Amino acid sequence: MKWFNPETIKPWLLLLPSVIVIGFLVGYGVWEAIAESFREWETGKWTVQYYEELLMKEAFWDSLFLSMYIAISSTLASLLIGLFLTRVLQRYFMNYRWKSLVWLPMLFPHFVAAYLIILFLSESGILSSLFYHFGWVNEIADFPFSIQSQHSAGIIFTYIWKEVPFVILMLLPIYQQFSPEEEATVRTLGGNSWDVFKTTEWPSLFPVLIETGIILFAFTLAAFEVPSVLGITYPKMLPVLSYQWFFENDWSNRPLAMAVMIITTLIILFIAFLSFWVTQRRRMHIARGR
Amino acid sequence: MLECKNLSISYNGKKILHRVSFRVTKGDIMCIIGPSGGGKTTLLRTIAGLVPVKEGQIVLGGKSVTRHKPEHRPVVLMFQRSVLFPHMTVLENVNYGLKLQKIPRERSQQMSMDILKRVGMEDYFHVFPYELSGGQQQRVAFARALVIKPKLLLFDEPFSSLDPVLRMSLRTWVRNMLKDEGMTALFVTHDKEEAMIVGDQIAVMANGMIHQTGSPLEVYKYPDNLVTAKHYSEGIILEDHYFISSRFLRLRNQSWQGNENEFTIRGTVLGKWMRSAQLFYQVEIPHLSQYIIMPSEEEVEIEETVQLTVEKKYISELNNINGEVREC
Repeated sequence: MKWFNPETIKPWLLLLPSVIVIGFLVGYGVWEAIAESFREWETGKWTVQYYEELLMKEAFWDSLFLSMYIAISSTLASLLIGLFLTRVLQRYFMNYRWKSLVWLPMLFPHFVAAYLIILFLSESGILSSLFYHFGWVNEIADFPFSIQSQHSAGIIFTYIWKEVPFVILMLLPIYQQFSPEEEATVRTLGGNSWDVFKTTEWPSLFPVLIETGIILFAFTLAAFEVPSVLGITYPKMLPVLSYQWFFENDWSNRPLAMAVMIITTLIILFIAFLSFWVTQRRRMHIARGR
Repeated sequence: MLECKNLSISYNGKKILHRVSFRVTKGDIMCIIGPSGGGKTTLLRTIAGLVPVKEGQIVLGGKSVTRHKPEHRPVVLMFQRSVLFPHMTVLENVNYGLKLQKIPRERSQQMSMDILKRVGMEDYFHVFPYELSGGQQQRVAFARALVIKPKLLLFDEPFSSLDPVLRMSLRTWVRNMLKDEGMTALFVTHDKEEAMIVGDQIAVMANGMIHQTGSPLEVYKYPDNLVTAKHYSEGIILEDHYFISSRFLRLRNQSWQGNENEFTIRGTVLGKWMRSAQLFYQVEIPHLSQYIIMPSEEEVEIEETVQLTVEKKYISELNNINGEVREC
């Protein structure tokens, strides 16, 4: 019988361990979160009351806007800085030492990175002490930069510092496959440097930037450590809010915590599908054309 | 039309081009031939404006373009790869240069379709480059270059990645197209046969220098230096100083008794084949570490020792044995 053909079963068998891990850990976890967010916590009855309640809460909307602001701005800034650095320094990145130096921030956990930012940039950090030492500020408290401001500069800085190397890691292989012939073709057909970028680099970079952007956005939107270390009391980022509701003594907020995470997941999925749909056609032409 | 005067390019202290001077008249095709690493591609890139010139001058249509940016020179460079933009259709690719010139869309599309017709690719205007064969891609790249009507077209071994049959047909096709358009062109190739078919003029280039220029047959028949003799002409080089053209060599069997006016060289037959109804032999001359391909009616076998003979009066002296710079 065909079903027993070893060649047919082999890929399924090889995939089985990862399918089991994903199915049980992620699938089961997501299902439990969904179930908990739609069940009354005392009776276990199915309900949408927690979503209604959540959408009425000002704290949720403030957290959502803050999270979106931080995720979008740190993602865009990381992509732009990463793109700029890769484009300008690509020749040096062929050298292993340069590459190691740039990728160094990736070795630190986000938690450590957040503490480094406090150490360097906080009002009582190294930089403010240096400013005071050199007489650029009268008091340490006058240090003009606040990492725990309303603008969440500390969180954004931490993410940029951590994610720019990741952007470079993703973009470097793209830049290494460009040949000087492409630039020469555009230039001799009458194009300037901007046309070279637009015509030869951007079509290949765009899908990778989108993919990288989604990874960074999803991670930033749903990560806990950095905002818990550097965030302000109100508003909190969604994961911190969810964590707080989940671990409160009062268990009645647990379904709300789950609903927050389900909404976060839906936002990420929506953006991911939208981006893949936009870039799919172009990705196909570039992949086949090279 | 195109005149290069004493062009010199150095990189990291190494001379890539050394006082290169030559001239191509309007509507002519000059083929540049020579070994790899001889500076041919750098010369094209320099003329296209992609390599800055510190010494020397490039004059195009009577005007110096030496300091002009590549996009401001009426020059298009084509490569071994077609370098079509993979995310654009054939029509968009061809239209690209016209779009950069800000020619109105309707007119530019018409011009692009016209040129696609001329290169026989009009039926493919809507397809993407990956759907085309290598030869078709080169035709489209050629159309893209022609449509903006440059004063000079530069080809950097455009056919070297194609199969021999396609390559043969494209050579004559490109030459005819260039002639029909009255286009001036520089054509870099490794292949001397291709250079002879495509070029009105030949320039032999090695070590960053042009060693000899002239008509394809003239340079082939009368190489006046070691580089040209080695890389373009065919024959036997003696002591890096004398040259015997294949035209005057005769292949004889081992028993041949020459006369006092003849010079004889011993060799071994490595291979034989028929081409164009003519028998050819590849002969190794071990003591000179040279190989030569000879047409002959003699019947000799592989690994047989043969004699290559020439009348002494046909042994010519190479003037320029050190490969010194020649002003062309």
